[in-house]
Amino acid sequence: MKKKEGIIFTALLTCLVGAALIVSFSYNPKTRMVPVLVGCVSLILSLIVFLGEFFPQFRQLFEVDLFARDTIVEREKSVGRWDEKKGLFIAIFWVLLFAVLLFLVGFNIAVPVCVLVYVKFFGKQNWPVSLSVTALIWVFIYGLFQLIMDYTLFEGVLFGGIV
Amino acid sequence: MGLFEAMLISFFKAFEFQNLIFISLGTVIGLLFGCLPGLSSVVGLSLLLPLTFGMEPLSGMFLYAGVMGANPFGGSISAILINTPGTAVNVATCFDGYPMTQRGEAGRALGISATASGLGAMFGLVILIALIPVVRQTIMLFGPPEFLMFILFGLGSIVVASRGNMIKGLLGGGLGMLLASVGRSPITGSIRFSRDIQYFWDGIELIPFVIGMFALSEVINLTVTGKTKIATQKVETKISGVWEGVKDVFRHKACFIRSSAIGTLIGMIPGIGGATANFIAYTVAMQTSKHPEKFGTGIAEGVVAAESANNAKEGGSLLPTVGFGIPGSVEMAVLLGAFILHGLVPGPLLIKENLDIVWAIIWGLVFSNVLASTFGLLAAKILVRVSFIEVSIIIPVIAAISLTGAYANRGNIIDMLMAVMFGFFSYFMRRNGFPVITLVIGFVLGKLAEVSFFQSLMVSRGDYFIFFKRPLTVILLLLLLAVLIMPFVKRKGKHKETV
Repeated sequence: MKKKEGIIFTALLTCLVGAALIVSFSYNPKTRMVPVLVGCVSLILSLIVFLGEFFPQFRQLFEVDLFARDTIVEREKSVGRWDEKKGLFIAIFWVLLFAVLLFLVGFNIAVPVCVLVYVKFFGKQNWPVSLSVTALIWVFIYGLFQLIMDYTLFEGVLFGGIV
Repeated sequence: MGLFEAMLISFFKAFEFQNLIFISLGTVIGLLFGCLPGLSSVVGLSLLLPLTFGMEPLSGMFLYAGVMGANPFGGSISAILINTPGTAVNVATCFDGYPMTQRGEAGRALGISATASGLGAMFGLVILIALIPVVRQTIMLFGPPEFLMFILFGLGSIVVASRGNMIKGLLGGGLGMLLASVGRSPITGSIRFSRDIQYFWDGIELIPFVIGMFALSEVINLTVTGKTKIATQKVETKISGVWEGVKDVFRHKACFIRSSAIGTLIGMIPGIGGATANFIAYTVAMQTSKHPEKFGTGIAEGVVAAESANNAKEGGSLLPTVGFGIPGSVEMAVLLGAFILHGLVPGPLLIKENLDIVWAIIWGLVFSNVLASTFGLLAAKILVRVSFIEVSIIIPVIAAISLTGAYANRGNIIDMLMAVMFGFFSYFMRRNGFPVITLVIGFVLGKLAEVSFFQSLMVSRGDYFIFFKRPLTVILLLLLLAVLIMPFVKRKGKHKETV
C-alpha cells in the first residue's frame, strides 16, 4: 500500500515537473532559461526517484544519514485512536470542510462550526469542554483580528464576501 | 548606520515597554511550542508571520527572536521530565536528562539545561557579534556569481544534512525553485505558469505557502496519527536541586565551551541545524570525557553538552541568514520570510542598511534566553503539563489560527485555499520521504538565484564560464561537489570496515 502510494506520488511529481518543462518552452529564451534548467534537472531527479520506487537497492544508493541519528534515537511509536487510513480520511474531510465553509460562509460561522465538529465528534470530548474550546478559539480570533487589529474577516461568498 | 550605533539603538528599543512585552510574549510562545513535542518553533513562527504584518519591523523581530530563543529550552523541559524531546534539537538531551529525572534529580537536570541553554546562546551570539564586522567585509567579496554558488552550496549541504534520500532532497529543492518561478519573471517581466489566472501573476505568496507547508501539514499529520495526547509518560512533580544543576555547568567548563563552539560552528553551515549540533556535541563530550561509560545513565556532562550546543547554534545560524540571505536552519528560513514580509531585503543589503534589525534579533535572543531560563525553571512543572493537553484540542486551535493567518496577510481568501493545498502537498511529501525543508528553501531562494544567475551573465557579457573563472566561485563549486560526494565516500569507508 505504502509502496503503491509512493509510486503514485512520484509519478504525479514527475508529470508536474514534465508539464512545467513543456510549458516553459513556450516562453522567450530569457524568461524560460532558469525554469528550463531547473525543470530538466528536476525531471531527471524525479525519474531517478521513480525508478527507485521499483528497485529498492537502487533507491538505497542515495539514502543518507551522515550523522547516524537513527542508531541513537529510538523513534516514538504513536498510539492512535484510529488507524492511519481512517485518520487520513478524517484529516482530508475536516480540513476541506473547514476551507469550503470559510469560503462559503466566512470566518464568523466556519471557525466555531469546524472547531466544534472536531473537538466534539473526532476528539470525543464532552459538551462542556467542546463548547468552551470552541468559544475560546472564536473569541481569540474575533478579538485579535476584528477588535484589536480592526481587521474585517472574510464574510463568505454567500454573505457578500468578494473574492 | 555604524555597528556600535545600531547596537545601542536596538538595545534601548528592546527596553521600550511594548518591545519588552513582545519579547516576553515570544518567550512564552517559544517555551509552549518547545514543550509540545511535534510543534516546533517553526510552527510557532509560521503562525506569527501574519499577525506581525502591521507591526513595526523592529518589534516584529523582537517577537520572533523571543520565540526562537526560548524554544530549545522549552523542548528540553519535556525531554528531561517525560523523555519526549519537545523539538528535534533536544533529542540528545533525553539520553541523560531523563535518567536524572528517574533518579529524582529532575530539578538538577533542569538547572543544567537552563544555565547551559542561556550561556550557550550567549556564547553563540558573542561569536556572531565578533564576526559581524568580518562578514561585512566578506560580503564585499561576493558578486552575483559567488552569491549564486553560495545559494547552491547552501541547498546542497541542506540536502546532505537532512536524513533520508538525497535525490528526493535535491528534487524538493528543484520543485521549490520551480514554484518560485511562478508569476512575473524578475528579468523580463513576462508572466510564467499562470495562464489567465491573475492570482498567480505576482507569484506564490510566501505566508500561505509557509503556513501550509509547516503548520497545516502538522495539523494533518497529528490527525492522521490519531494520537490522543502528545505525551503519555508520568510527569516528575518533585523539582529540587536546581542550584546544584547551575553549578554543574561551571564544574564542566571545558565541556560547555567545547560544545558551545561546536554548536556555533555547525549553526554557521547552512541547513545543518541544531539537531545535528546536539548529537555531535554529545558524541564529542562522550569521547573526551573521563567517564564515557556513564553517558546515557544520567550524567551531568551529557545534558551540558547537548543543551549548550543547541542554543549556541542560534548565533551561528544567524550569520549566513543575515549576512548572505541563506537560511542556516528551518527557523531561519521562516525568519527570511518575516524579513520579506516587513519589506526588508535578506542578504548583504540587510547587514549594510538595516543593522538595527540584525541587532534587534540579537538582543531579542539574549533577553529571551535570560527570560526563558528564569521563567522556565519557575514554571517547568506547569509548562510540561501542556504536553498532556488532548491533541483533539490542539489541532483545531492550530488549524483555525493558521487559516485565519493565511487569509489575513493580504485579505485574500484564495491565499487560505493555497495554504490548504500546500498543507496537503507538504503532508504527502513527508509521508513519502521527501524533506520539506529543501522545497521551502528552494522556494525562498529561487528568485534570488535567478536574479544572481542573470546578473552574473550580464557581468560576464553572456559568458557562462564566469562560474569557473573566479577563485571564490570555484572554491564554492568544489565545496558543493565535496558535500554531495561525502555521503558516498563515507558509506564506502563503512562498507570497507564491515568487510
